[in-house]
Amino acid sequence: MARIGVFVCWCGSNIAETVEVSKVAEVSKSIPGVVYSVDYKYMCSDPGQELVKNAIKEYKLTGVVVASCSPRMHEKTFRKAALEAGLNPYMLEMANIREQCSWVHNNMDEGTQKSIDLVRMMVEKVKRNKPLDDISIPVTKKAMVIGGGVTGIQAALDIASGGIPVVLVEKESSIGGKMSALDETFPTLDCSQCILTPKMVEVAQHPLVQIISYAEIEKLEGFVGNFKATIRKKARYVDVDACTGCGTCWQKCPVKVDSEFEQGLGKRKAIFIPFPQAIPSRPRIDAENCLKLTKDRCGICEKVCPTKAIHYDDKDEFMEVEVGAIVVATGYKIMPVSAFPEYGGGQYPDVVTSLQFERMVCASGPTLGDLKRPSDGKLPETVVFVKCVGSRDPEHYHSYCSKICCMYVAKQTMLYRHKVHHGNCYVFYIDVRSNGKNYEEFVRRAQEQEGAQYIRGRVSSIYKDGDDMVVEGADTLTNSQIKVKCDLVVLATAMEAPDGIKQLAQKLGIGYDQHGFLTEAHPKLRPVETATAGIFLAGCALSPRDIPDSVSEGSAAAAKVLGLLSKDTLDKEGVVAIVNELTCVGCQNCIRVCPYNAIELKDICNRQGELQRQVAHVNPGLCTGCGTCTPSCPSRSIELQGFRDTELYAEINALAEL
Amino acid sequence: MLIKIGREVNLLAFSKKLEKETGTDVRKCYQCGKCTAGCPMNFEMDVSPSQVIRFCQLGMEEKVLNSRTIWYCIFCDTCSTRCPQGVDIKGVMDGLRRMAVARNIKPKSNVRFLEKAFQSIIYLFGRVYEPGMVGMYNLRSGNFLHDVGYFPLMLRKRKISLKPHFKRTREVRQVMKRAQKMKLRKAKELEEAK
Repeated sequence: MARIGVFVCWCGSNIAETVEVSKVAEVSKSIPGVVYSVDYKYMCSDPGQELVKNAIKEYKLTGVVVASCSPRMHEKTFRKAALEAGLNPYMLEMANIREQCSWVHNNMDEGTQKSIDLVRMMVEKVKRNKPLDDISIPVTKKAMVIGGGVTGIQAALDIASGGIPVVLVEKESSIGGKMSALDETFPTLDCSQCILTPKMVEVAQHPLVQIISYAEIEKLEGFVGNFKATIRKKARYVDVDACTGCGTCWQKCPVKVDSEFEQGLGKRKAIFIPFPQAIPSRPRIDAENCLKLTKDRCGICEKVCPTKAIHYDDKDEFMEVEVGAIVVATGYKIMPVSAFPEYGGGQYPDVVTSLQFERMVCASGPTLGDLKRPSDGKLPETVVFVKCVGSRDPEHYHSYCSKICCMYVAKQTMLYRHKVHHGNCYVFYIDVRSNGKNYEEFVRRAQEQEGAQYIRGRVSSIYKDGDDMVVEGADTLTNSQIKVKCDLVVLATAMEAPDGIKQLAQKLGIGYDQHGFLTEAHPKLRPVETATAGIFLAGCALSPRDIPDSVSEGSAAAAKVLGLLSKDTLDKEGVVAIVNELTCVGCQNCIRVCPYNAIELKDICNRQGELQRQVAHVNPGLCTGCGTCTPSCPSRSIELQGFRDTELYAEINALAEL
Repeated sequence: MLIKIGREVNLLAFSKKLEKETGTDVRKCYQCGKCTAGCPMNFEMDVSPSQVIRFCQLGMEEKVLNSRTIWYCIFCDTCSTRCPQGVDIKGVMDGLRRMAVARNIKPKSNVRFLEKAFQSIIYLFGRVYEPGMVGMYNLRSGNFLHDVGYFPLMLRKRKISLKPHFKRTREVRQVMKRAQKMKLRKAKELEEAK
C-alpha cells in the first residue's frame, strides 16, 4: 500500500502570492494514498529538507511529492534528502507549481486549482514509480585538447601536471597559435614569443603530453569518460621521427610562396617550418606548391636530406585515441582586409590588418623589425589606425565587439612611436573599451605620453591620392569631417570563428551560435562546459577574448577535466531506456532513431548456443534518457525507466478524472 | 544651447512619431559618425547628419525642422548604405522635410524652388531639360542671373542643349498624376483618422 507525503512550498511569495498553499496541502490529504501533507515557507532550506526527512521516517513514506519549483532547480536537493532518510531517490517527484503555475498566472483561485491538479498528477505517478539505481560507468583517464594555441597549451599543461596524460591535437604543423605571431603584448609590453616559447617547450617536453601536429579530428564516438576519437594526421611528406629538423631541405628548396605565418608579407619555401621556434621543429611539404608533387620535377629535398626522412608518397593517416574528456580550444581568425572594399582592402597594399602590422614591427618578422610599408618600402611617417572594422556592425558584418582591438591598437601606436619617434599616428574609434587590470592606464599612456591622437568617429572611406592614402572620417566631438593623408592604414578587423568550426562542432555534438562561436552550457555559471558532458571549451572558440582571459579559461577547463577524471567511475542517473526482451521483435526502429548510438542488437541463444533471435539492447552508459526510442517501438517493448507508460498514463488519467 | 530633460519631457515621443513617418527607428543610432564622415554635402550643412539623428533622439523637433541640413541632403544614400546600425538617414531627412512642410516651416534654402522647377520640367518633357529648369528656378528664387555665366561654356562643351528632348511624356505624366492622387488620398485618410 502506497504511503505518499506531499510537501507544498511557498517559495517566499513566489508561489504563495498566486497559490493558496495551505489549501493545496489540505486538499492533497484527500487524494487516495496520501498520508501526510504540509506547507512550508522555503522547502529547499535546511529546516525544509529536515521536514521531508523526518516525515519519511515518521510516517514510513513510500513516495514523496514536493510541490515547488522546476525539477531543474531542486530535484537533486530533495532526492538527496530522500536518500539520506532511507527512501529510494527515484520515489520522489517534483510538482512544478512555480514556473508552470504561479509565475505565469495571476488569479489566486485558478492558480490554486491548477496546483492541486499538478500535485494530484504527481501523486498518481509516484504511486507507480519503481525504485531505480544509479549507474556507474568506468572512466578513461586520458584527455584530449583540440587546438595548440596558448589556451590549448595552458589546458594541456595543467591537465598533465595533474597526472593525467594528454593528447594535444593541432591543425597547423606547429603549436603556438596566433600568439606566436604577435610582437609585444598589452598592457605590459612583454615580448610575445619570449613568454610563449617557454610554455611551448614545457608542453613539448612534458612526459604526459603527446603533441599531434598537422592533424584534425575526423570522428568522435562515445560519451563522457569513454570517448573514442579518430584523428586524421594529414600527409606531411616528412617522417617526423626520422627528421632531425636540421633545415637543409628548406634552405635548398627553390619554391618561394607567401607565408601564412607572416600574413602574406614574407616568403616561405614549399618545404617549411612556419617560424624558427616551431614545435615540433619538423617541416612539412606544401603539396599545392611543391614542384615534385605538382609537376614531378625537382626532388631536391629528398636528395639533400641526410636522414632520408622525405617521402613523396605520404598519405593521410588515421589514429584512434580513447579519452575521458575533451577540451576544445580552437581559437579564432581575423577578417582579411579584402572584406572591406570601402576601405580599399585588397586594392591597396598599404591598407593592412593589425596582425599584418604585428609582423611588420616584429623583430622576427619579414623585415626583421624594420618598419616599411608594403607598397614601396618607405618608412611610414603617418599611420592611421581604424577600430571596429567589421565589429559592431550588425548591418554588414558582425554585431559583436571584438574586445581586444581597443587594447592592441593602443599597444600598436606605442610600438609605432617607439620605432618612428617623429611619426604621427591617429586612431579612429567609436568607444574605447579598456576594462581590465591596468588597461585604462595603458590607453591613457598611449594618448598622453606616447602621442597617439584619438579621433572619435567611424571612417567612411579610404582611397589613394598619388603616393598617399587618404582616410575620410569624422570627428563627432567637434562635429566635423576629417581627411587624413597618411602612408599606412591599419584596420583593426574583427575576430571571427575559424573556418571549419561548425563541422567540428557537429562532429563533437556541441552547439554553436550564429557567428560560429561555440556555446557554453551556461554563460555565467558553467562558462567552460558544453551541453555535452565531458567536452569543455576555452579561449576564443567561445567568443573574442584576450590572452589573460584565454589562459585563465584554459586552466579553468583543465580543472574541470581533472575533476571529472579524478574518479575511477562516474555515477549516472538511472533514467535510461530498458528493453523487454520477451516482446521485442528486433525490428531495429529504436536503433535507427537513437541519437546517441546507445542501442545495439543482442543475440538470444538457446542452451545449445544456437542463435534463436535478435533483440534490441540499450547500453546504459551511452543512454541519456532522452526517450526518443520509446514512441518508435511498435510493440511497446522499450521503455524509459522513471517515465514508463503506466506512470505517464496515471498522470494523464489523474488530470482527466475531473 | 540648453537641453531640458525632465519628468514632463518624453524624449521618445518624437522618435516614435518619426518612426511612424519614416519607418526608421533613430534610437538604434550609436553615434559613430560614419554618416557624417562620408556626407558629400556636409560643407553646406549647419548640423551634421549624425547630429540630426542625435537631436531626433533627444526629441529636439524644433531644432531639426529649422535646420539647413534637411534641405541640403541630396539623397545620395551614402549614409544609409554605410550605417552599421541600419538607420536610414536619408529617409529620416526626407521625413523631416515632410514634417516641416506640413507645419509650414519655411525651408532654409531655395531647394524647394528647385524641386518645384524639376517637377514642372519632368511633367512637361518627361525628362530633364536643364536650361528650362534653371530658368524656372531663377524666376522663382528671384535671382534671375544665377549661374547664367556658365551657360555659353556648358553649351560649347555640349553639357546642355537648347533643344528639349521629349521622352515618353504621357506615361511620366500618368505616373505623376497617380502619385498626386495617392498623396491626396493619404492626406484625406489622415484627416479622417483625426
